[in-house]
Amino acid sequence: METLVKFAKQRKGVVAALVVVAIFALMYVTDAKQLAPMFSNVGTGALIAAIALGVVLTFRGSGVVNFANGVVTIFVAYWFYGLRFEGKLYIPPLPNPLALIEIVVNAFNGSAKNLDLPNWPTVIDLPGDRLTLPAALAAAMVISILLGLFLHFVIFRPLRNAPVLAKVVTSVGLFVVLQEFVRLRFGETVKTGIQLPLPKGKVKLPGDLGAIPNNQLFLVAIVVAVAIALWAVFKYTRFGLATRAAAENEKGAIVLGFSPDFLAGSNWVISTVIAGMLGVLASPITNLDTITMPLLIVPALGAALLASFSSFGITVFAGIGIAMVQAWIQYQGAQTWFPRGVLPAPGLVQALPFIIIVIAMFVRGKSLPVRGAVTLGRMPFAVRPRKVLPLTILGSAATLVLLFGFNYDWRQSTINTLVAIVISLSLVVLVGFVGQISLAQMAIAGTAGFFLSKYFSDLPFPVGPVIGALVAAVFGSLIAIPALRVRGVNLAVITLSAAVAIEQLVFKNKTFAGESGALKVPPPKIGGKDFGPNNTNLKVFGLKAKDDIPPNVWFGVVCLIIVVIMCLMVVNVRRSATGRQFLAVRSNERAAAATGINVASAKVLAFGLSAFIAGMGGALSGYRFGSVTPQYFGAFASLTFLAFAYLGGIASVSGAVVAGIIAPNGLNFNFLENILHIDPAYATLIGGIGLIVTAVRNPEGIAGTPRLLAIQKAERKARKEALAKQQEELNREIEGAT
Amino acid sequence: MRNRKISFVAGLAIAGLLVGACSEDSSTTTNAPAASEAPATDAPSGTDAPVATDAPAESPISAENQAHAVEYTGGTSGAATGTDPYVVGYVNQEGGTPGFPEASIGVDAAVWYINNFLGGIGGRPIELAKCVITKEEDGQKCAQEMLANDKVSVVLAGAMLNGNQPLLDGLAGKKPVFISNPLTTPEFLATDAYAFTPGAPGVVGGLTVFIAKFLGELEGKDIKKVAVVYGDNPSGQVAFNMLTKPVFESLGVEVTGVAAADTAGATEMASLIQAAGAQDADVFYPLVTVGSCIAVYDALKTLEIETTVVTTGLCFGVPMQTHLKELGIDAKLPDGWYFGGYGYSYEIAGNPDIDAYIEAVFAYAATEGMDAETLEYTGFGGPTFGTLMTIAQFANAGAADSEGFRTAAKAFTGPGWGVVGPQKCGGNPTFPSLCGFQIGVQQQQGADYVSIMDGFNGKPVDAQAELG
Repeated sequence: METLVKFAKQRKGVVAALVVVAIFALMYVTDAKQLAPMFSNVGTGALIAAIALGVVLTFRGSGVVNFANGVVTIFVAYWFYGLRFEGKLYIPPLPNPLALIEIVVNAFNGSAKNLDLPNWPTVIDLPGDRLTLPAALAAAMVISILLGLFLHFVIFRPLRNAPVLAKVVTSVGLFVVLQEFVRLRFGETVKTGIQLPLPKGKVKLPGDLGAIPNNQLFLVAIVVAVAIALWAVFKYTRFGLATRAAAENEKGAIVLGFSPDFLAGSNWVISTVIAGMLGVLASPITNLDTITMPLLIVPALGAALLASFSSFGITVFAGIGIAMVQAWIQYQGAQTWFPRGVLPAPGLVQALPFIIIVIAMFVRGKSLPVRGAVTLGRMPFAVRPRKVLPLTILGSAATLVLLFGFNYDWRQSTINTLVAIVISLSLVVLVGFVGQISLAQMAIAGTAGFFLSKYFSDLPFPVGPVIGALVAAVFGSLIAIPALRVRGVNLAVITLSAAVAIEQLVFKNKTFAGESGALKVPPPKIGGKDFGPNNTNLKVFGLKAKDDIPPNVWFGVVCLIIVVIMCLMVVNVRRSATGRQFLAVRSNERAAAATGINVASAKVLAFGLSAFIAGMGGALSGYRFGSVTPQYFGAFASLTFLAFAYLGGIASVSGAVVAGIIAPNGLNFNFLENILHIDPAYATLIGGIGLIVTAVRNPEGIAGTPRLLAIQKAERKARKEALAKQQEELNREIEGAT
Repeated sequence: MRNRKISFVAGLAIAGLLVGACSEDSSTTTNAPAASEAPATDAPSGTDAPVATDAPAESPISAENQAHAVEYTGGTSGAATGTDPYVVGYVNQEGGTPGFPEASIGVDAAVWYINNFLGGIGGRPIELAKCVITKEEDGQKCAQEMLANDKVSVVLAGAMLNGNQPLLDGLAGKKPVFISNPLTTPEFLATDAYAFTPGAPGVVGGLTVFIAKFLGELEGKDIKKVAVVYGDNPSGQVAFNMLTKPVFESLGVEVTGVAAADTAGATEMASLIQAAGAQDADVFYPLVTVGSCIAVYDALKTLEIETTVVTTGLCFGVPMQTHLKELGIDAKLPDGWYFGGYGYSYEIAGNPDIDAYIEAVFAYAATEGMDAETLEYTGFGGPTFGTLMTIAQFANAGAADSEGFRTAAKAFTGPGWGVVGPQKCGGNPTFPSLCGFQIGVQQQQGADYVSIMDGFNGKPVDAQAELG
């Protein structure tokens, strides 16, 4: 027995392989047909593995977990598609100086036709019909390399000493920017029927095992070959050894004469080339779209985590394995015994990576790598709120003017802004005050909306939404449990996968959310009166909106009251001892614990409070649309909200207010669209770019800019005075000498 | 100082990009697929009228088809001569996945046709106040825009899977919505909306009845087991869970369903098809949109599953035909597949409504410089064209305001343009918005597309009647 245990410890790989073979044998004996779907999904597994390999590479090379690596696949593949199948080179959105003239003219143009001056082309027709396959592949390779260089030198190199939060939000910003670029240039319609000369036919497996298509085997072979090559490079070459050394100890690598910068850049390029080229080769069997493929990052992160962000072999094995298990779940989900009503099979398939990630985190929690760096920058400054009363009165008065004095589109965008402020406030508490990165905030908000609709809509306002928000707080506290063991980027990974799991298992659960995909939210009633957004006839104190078009202005007033309450609550938290404890935990958990702060309870409290606030936002959102849908509270929405919250200012209430103003469909969008006549389709792209620039240049966000400028001014003044003083002393010495 | 410079340059770049955004799509090159494909998530509603002056000197429309269309709409032969536009609201989901741009091709062709050849509405050219939906919350925005436009009395909906609830809630009791292709529960249950096509309940329910009751005899086998792959979207969920599974089970047919993402490729589809048990089923019944349908076809070929395939007209579109052509297959549609639709087919001549539509849409496409080879005129294009023709009929008959359109819809007994069977709005208490229920089924047999049970042979399938 002892010998067996010793052998198992020494030969973990062999044991794992034996276990897998045993499981397969058992499955074959019980129902061989269940294996057939697994074998026909290995192509998806190859793509997941390729994305995961890129994640591992960038982490080992630069300490960045690239959440955008799934988008890199489509970014390159779409460009390839344009060159190869359309004969077109798509141009990224470029700044157009003439548009400044258009804006000024169109702003004063009234209802007249907008001025439309020449602009950069969106696309260039290539000479001839289209590029040949080798030429298009070479172009895709060049694009992949340039993208890798750009990501390193322009975006992540300046962040090498930044806190984990900045790297994560930058990665999220990159996700948004690349996805928006593809969406704007290539459209959101799925590209199907792509033809590439991949091997045809299939390998027929014995019995009921089905078959593996050769094109999928080809992809698996490529990924395996890449993994072996990477293993060899990292084991036997100076470059690989240096990267491993830098990953362990960056300072040590510098002392030994290696350039972490060069190593990081090279790994970025290899990462984008692997993801991009596999994206191209997989496009005939996976189709090309802007939604599914970017989200393959979630199972890819699961695979990378199982490999401890280190082993290429385990990464590939896990990536393909996850896809095979997903297909197996799909098969079981179709069987009569499966409790479809309680567990939607498609949801379980999407939630599988979350389950794997949670298990990996719990089993290996503290052993997960946190890559070393030379120094780490500080988190955004959480300014102590001042002049709260005057600012509250001023802000509320301005909101009332917008609600009562302007027409329906301003009213709607004001309400959208108010809802976005509430959700951004929840991020301020969690991310800004406690430093816990949550990529699931919209999913948490959604739980309140769905529970409100399903169970509490008959309760009087505001009891219903408050109970809904309390349910969200329970969900938030559940997410806090893993947060007690993991932090930083690992927490970001777990919350992203949790967002997908909540969306798939709760919001798309037909037992809970019904067959139609949307749950109705009846309007809020106060004193028996309908305060819902569609009741434009409602008069309170004889007052109503300027016009009879929804939304009802009094619904906006209800939203304003909730926003004010939430803002004051967060202000008080920041000023209280609890707030100081939060900030202490954010700065250094060990130091906080040493001063007697219960770090675990502080984290649970922060998650719960943040989720409660997000839940209020989710409930308001449900009232706003009259329904709640999985799409609105999906994983992408969480990423977008974090982007705008960080851009506004993640560590202050004023930052949340700015975030609400610039959030999608908020006041800023309405201003851009209706006053400046700027296509709002570009707003998310601009928001993503703004997020990256903010993370790199100004972590305080827009709200913190005046403070940052004041500090810089003071520093300049101090430097100037010091120089003047130095000069004066020098002059005096010279005078003395003469 | 360097930092400030970088910040300034970065800020300038963002500002430039921001300002650059405003005109990029509206100008530039002649080939701008982004302009047509780019999502108009928050596109402002505008008016869009292919005007009478675009009419070519030599008519691309046959006198016979024109006379038929004039008779249907109650208009007059020739171009609309008035200058005061007759504004109809139009909402459609496009620019994303799922998206139905073919519905907009159909409605634009109808506007062009009515304005240039059918005398407009009492001589006034039709203009569309368009609003595009890509996500749930756009429905509310579109409702607001339609309510804010005093010239809009009636709203035409193309095809939508998202945003239906807020759109219909916002317009209920204020402006009636004429739904070209009812696909989701809020549309079926709406009380101030009218659909002259059977939509998903008719087609999916009808095909289910067709499989359970008639297909066995046609194929010479007992239909005991059906495998279904359905779209993981509101319409797909309703189609399987409410319109397929209970009906099959009530008719004694075993059914296994698996949901598929709208973006699923051949790899994912292969495992889903096997999970549904298509290899052992008597019938495989994919309820997916055209993109997924191509993946279904590829996966079935790879897995060499040769069971009987029955599907909806969504698998019928030009993208499928293009795909088969690229694979070197000498047939427009997969051999042996059955397709269910609103009673007639784009591929079989003989129905004057469909014949006139096809002539009109290609003529319109020619004036717009669209590529006839890849013109997506199938799918939801024809029904959306037809619903605007019916709106024109009501308007020409005197419907002048929202109430007038409601009254006309309730009194309408058919025939509807391009659809089979009688019309009776509110005739089905379960689905109050639906006015017609009969469908047609055709089959690809070798190189030919033939009528099986439809309006052409006078044997349409009526799920409502069959199921009592």
